[in-house]
Amino acid sequence: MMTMQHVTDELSDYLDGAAESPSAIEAHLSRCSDCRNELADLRQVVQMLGTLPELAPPKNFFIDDLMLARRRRARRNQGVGWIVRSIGAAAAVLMMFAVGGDVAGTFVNGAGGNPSAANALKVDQLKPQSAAAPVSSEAVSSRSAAADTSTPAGNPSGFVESRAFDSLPFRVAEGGALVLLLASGGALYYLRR
Amino acid sequence: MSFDKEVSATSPSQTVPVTLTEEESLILRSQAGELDAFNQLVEKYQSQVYNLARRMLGDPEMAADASQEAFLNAYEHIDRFRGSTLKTWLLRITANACYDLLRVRQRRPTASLDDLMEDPDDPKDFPDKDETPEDAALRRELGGLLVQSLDSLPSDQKLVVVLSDVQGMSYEEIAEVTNSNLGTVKSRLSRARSKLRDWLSDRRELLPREYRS
Repeated sequence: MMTMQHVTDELSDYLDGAAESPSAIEAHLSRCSDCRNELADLRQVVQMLGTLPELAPPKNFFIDDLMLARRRRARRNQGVGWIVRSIGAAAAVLMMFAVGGDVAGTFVNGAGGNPSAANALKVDQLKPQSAAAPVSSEAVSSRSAAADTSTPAGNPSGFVESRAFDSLPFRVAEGGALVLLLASGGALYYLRR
Repeated sequence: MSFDKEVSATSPSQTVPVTLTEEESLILRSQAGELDAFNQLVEKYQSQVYNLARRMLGDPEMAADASQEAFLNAYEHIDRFRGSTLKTWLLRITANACYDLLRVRQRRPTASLDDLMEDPDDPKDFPDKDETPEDAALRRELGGLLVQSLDSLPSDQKLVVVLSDVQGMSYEEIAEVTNSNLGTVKSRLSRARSKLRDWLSDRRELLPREYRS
């Protein structure tokens, strides 16, 4: 015999004639006014939902070749946009590394408070390993010296103007990143028009 | 009109004539890339597709967008249609299109509850030309309240209750549309009905008199 445990969870199935044990539910309903009321409420909800009319579509949803072509083009542009965004993101990361490395280098070099020592180190790094190219070494040295003159004399903070971008690899990275960033920005602008 | 066609059975030793229904024939022709054939299927199912989208989304324009998107997706993937009935397959695609639009709407909520109400001036919302103005007013009042109540449900429960209690589909069909088992359909439907009951009970004074008991 069924106890007075409510059958709330089964009422929805019972309403649709899909309850596993309808006779047990009916036995409970005969004794439980709460569940009878709940069943009546659920029946009313279903009845009300049934009054929602079938609405006429506002237009025909026929498909034509133009729609399909437009969709293919949009999808292609999405693909290109994804590539461009990826390039843009890669360029931005590259740029962050370039700028970050430069700033970090500046502080590391400047922290000793000996600008000339820091510059001398850079010049040493730029010197060719072979002694067969003294001219280029001199050129680098003179450029370094020229840059030294632009630094305010007797800078008390020890902060020196960075020369990390003077080295060729940084220039390539920086320039490349900038070009990629501008190109992807332009392409994105074009695609979103 | 029936459209008969003979196709070969899988056994190479014998050819068995198989009579295709008109719909099966249209599906085969659609799979072969015939747009005209597919558009005949669109004509047949567009009302059910639009009504599901309209009840899921509330907004008529969004529902039209979702319906168009669903048919475009269906045409592009008609070659993958196997086994199940076309109606449930189309409604599953429609439900997915609605979910996509609901996600967009959640990110950029622009529609107010008023936008989701049945439009009293929309002639398409008058299905019965013989009903009296009073009946029409009551129906619209109740309709507006029901649309709001449906909008209070989570999407998965809304889909099941719309398919069952608005579109009158069986548990088996709903299971196909929602790609879930019968137990899941039953429990979602039960929860949805209970929540609607609670929501409407809290607004009993807004219901037409015959539903206030």
